[in-house]
Amino acid sequence: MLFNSLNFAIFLPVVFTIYWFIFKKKLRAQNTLLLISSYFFYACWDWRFLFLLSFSTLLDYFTGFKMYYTENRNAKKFWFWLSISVNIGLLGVFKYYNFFAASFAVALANVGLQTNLLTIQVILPVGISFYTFHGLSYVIDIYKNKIKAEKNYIDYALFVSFFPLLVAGPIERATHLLPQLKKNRDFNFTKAVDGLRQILWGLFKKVVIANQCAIYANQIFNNSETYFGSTLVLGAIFFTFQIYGDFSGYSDIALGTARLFGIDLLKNFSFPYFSRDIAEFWRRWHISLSTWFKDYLYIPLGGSKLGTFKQIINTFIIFMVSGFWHGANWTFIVWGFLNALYIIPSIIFGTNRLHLEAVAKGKILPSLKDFFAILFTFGLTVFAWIFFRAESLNHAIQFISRIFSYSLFSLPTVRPKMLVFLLFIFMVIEWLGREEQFAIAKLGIKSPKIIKWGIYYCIILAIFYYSGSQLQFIYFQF
Amino acid sequence: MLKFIRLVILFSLPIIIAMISLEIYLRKIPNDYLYKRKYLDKHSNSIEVLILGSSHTYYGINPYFSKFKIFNAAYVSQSLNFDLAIFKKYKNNWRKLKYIVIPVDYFSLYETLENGSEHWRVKNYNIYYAIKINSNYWNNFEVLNGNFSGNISRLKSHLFNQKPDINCNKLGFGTNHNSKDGKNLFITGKINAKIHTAILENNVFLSKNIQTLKSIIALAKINNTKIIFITSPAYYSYRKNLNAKQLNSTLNQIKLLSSKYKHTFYYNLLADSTFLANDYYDANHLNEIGAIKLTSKLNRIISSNNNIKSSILAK
Repeated sequence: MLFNSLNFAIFLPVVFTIYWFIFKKKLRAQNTLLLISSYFFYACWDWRFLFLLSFSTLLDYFTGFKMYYTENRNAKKFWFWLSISVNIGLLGVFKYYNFFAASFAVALANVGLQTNLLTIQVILPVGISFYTFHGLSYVIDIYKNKIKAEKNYIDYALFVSFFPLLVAGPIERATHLLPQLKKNRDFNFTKAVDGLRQILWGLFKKVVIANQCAIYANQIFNNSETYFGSTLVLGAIFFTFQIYGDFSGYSDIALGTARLFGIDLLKNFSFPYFSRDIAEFWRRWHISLSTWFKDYLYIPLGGSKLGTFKQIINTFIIFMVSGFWHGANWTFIVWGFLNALYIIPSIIFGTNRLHLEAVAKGKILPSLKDFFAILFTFGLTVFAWIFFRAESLNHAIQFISRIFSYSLFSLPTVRPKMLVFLLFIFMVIEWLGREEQFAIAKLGIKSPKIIKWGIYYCIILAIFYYSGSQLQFIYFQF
Repeated sequence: MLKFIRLVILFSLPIIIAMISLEIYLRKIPNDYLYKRKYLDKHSNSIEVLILGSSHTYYGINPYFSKFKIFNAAYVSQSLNFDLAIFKKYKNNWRKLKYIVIPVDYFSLYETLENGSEHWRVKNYNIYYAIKINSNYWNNFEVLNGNFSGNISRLKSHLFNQKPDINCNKLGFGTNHNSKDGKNLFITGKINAKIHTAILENNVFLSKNIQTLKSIIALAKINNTKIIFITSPAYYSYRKNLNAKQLNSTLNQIKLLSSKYKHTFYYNLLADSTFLANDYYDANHLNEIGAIKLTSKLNRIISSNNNIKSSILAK
């Protein structure tokens, strides 16, 4: 069930009504309802994978329990590694088996050995990377004595599979979400209205920005050999906005939906395209994944405590793993490598925590220095996204080599004026709201109702106007 | 809580009213589907040759240039299961029907309308043809399917210019692929071939479509109607970008079927040299000039089949 589908438009009010009217102040019933609804939501994709989700949930619940209540250190280690290996193993089989089999066969062929390795037709279960990471963080936190094991299975299962975050995050932490699931929740008018506003903005980002950019980005990337360099640059920029609109739009809908049920999820995006350097970009892009890797990989590897050289190595490791997390393709690994490369100068010069606050805080316009820094960072990001979007490394290299030719200075053959205008309006709204939770959180909030509602109706009209095909969210494939 | 519900209802009310009004108005705009359905309701008992299939025949066969009483019931992206449904819908009316023409093209066996990118067109069969193939409830509404901007421009052109949304002539031939608006044959060849290339492994549609073809064949036999399967002509820029495996599989399947049943004939016109660059609107659709050629070819095919039949009867 897609967030931008009619089925979801029915599903959400039904669950909301039962949750607040029938099960009001009955925490157990509310959580059970959310869990059943989440499983139903997931089953709408493929009910067979519910078994996998349930197995993964049960495994982490059980091993977490065993780990927490055992005194024996070896037993604790055993349960910990059992959970880690089964989780990673499942992810490996469903997501990476064919990649490894094919890469291994190519490597052997390069040294003259012909193999006939079995590749299997595996359907990637939606959200496997996300719910596996939920489970892993829970198990690791128990192992490190940061949290207690959850006794209530319903609460734990809901933590893993709460429907707004189930298929594409944000990747939650037990320390953040579980306490909320255990507390009585009262209906909060302001929070619910804010949730609806965030859902509206998420839908705008997905339907108007991402889907419209996708039309041109797909056209240009799929036929890159027929376009001039200037058109290819435009294609890369459209993809840059597509992936932002798509994923941050999804996150906004997820966060807004959770708010309707009185639950706050982790913020996943914070206006990343206004970053002044790559380090800032990664503090603002897919925040829940970046912090996951920081907490469970970067810091255990030593983080920044073992000197600059070790810090650089660790940075490369997490970015490569992050790239690989996105998919079994060398393009993602190179994308990760490139981002690590971008960030190295700031590690060497110690400037990676230079920009912690929103750019031009309290001001309308940025300084010239900030403006050029934003432009430069955006340019680097656009370049890296080419690898992320390309079908293969060859495709990416051909795409880039066509960009850096004389045709770069010709007029682009694809000129969607309306889309460029929409992107301009979008960026202006995002800029104005960059200090808020989401761009329209305060937009027109103090204006008379007629203006405020007028703004919302305009957004809804744009969503309807550009709706049509229900395109999948990009991050569902990860 | 009640304040919130009141607010949501109050806010949504104008949207809901606008949507319902739009739905009612859109349904009143005459369109191709409604026109074709009404034509078939009225004339199906007098039609001699029925053209079914996708845009390849919709834009490819112009009944005005045929010497038979012929109607073009093909439409854009109409897949074999919808061809069967139309044929079945009037099964008791085909009193004079002698031939059905069905295109079996590169993509025909590997997709169905409801599962492709044009799935939004299913609502037209539900609403205007009263053909219910897909059980999805949302397919019963104009405003919930297709492009909203497209719906608005249909509404505008009907409201302000009193223009119906009919793009076919009185005998069902699509008239909006004119030679003067022709597309680049090389670019469209590549792009359209890519769009039409299916994932062959575990393709669930192949067996389903073959079964549909068999059902059409069986129904035609009961009705004493002959079936002419054709593979539509396409420009070489389209042909050279086709996946050989998918193409060969399609051609072999249709050859096998037509050789098995005596009341079916198959003509592969994919690389027919009669059709030149000027005959194409884009790499895989004919324009009005190409359509005259294909219709003439169909005339000859039907005449020759009639002659064979006459000679057999004479013997």
